[in-house]
Amino acid sequence: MTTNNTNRSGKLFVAMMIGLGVMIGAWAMGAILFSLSQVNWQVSELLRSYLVATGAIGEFQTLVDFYSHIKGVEYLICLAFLVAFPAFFKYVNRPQEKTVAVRR
Amino acid sequence: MNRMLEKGFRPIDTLHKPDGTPWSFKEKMMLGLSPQEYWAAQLRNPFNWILAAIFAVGTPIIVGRFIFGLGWATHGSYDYPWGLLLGWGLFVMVPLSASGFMMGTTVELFGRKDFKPIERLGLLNGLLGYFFAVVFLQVDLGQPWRLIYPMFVSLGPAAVLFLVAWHVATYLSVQIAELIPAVSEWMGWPKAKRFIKQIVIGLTVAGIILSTLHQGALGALFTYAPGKVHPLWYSSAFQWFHFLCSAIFAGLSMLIVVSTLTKWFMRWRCDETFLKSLDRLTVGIAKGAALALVTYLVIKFIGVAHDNDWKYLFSGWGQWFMFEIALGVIVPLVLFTSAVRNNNATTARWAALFAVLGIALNRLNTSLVTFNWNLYQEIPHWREFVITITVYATYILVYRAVLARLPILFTWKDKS
Repeated sequence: MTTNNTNRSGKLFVAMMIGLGVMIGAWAMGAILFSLSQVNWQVSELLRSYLVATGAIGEFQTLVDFYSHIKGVEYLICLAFLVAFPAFFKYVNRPQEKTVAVRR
Repeated sequence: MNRMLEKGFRPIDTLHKPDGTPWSFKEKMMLGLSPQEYWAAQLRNPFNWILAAIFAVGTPIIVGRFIFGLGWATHGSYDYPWGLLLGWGLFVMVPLSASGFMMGTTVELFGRKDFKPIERLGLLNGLLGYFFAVVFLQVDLGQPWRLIYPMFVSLGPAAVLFLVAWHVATYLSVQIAELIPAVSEWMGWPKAKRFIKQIVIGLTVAGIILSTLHQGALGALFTYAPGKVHPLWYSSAFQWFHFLCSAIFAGLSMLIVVSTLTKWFMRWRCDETFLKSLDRLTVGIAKGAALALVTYLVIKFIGVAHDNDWKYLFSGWGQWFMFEIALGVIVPLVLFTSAVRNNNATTARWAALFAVLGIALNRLNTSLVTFNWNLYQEIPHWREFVITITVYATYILVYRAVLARLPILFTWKDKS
């Protein structure tokens, strides 16, 4: 009896979470599509408008100004590392073979 | 002792003798040998003679430091507040002791029970490293009875040192608790072990929080001195992260170095499980160290890029910086990667040695060598060198004594 009740509440909780997630997802999707329609479906212009709205860049600046401002090389190192780290992780995680060591 | 093992000596690994009577505390301290046999074995060991010589010279100088003051023993000044005692004793020893929380996390939280044979060695390395960092701090500060002042009497909650003091004190307590199972097996106190087993997850989580925070906080200490540390070793935004990330591979590498030394010099105390699994575990640890090293290498250069310090790379200091990066980061990174790819524990051991030397060089560079790079360079007083060597020799002596007795390298045979 207790197990059944627990299962039912668990399912209800999962259903509520999924419902909530769908609502938030639908709202976010609607907001993005509406915003894109306002800037003639240009993703970069939408991003620029967002950065202007949040005060990260001035009205007259471009995206190039922005990533120059946050120091381009630093930005590129981070980006390269985001690509390189998973590759390196995969490289050192190949299947194990017998371990060898010099005997003393 | 290794030779005695070949002659039939069996060190104590159970609470009871073959006839069923319990070992006395004295017998356990003497490793199951008679006092004559024990002291004869100690006198035969040449390393003990080296230690004796170090203590003969160093002990009077440590006593002199407490009688005549810090000025008698060091070149400490308002320009150079952190000499060799803290440069080595605190800034080098603490990252090398990060193995405690790394192994606790690996075994207890990530469930990698295959690392169990080396877990206690990692914990002990952490505990003793931190404990002797506090000893070094006490020799530097003097007045050991005032140890509790920064925590209870003269509070400075806005200071990084206040945070470091609390973290080290609480983390030391956590590490002592994590090693209680080994003590309880040796003493025959099963209740203590059962209690710690119940709270081990909490202890491990506390260890992670405290350790990561204060490893970073040690880096944050240098933000007190902007302009004093050379820009290549200083980054106001990333200093804490450099110290935290480097502590990860430093602790793992130190564990590889220590386990290798025990395998060579204390083989008599290791059991078959430890010896047979050590090569595999070394390669496993090498994998973690390689991932931490590549991350550290990248954030070091992000720090340079963030502060736009590229021009310094072409100066003499820049050459020294590149030497440190090459010796302490790139060489061990290449060797660790090669060791993992080829499953070669020997290569991993070389890599660990380079990583340990590299991290020691980095911390000494940050706290001593490049400190006041625009002023003059301080050479530590010879007494400071002697005190540092003496305290470090004590650390080795205690480390060896604990390993010889407690079930760290072997499994205790009594089911308690």
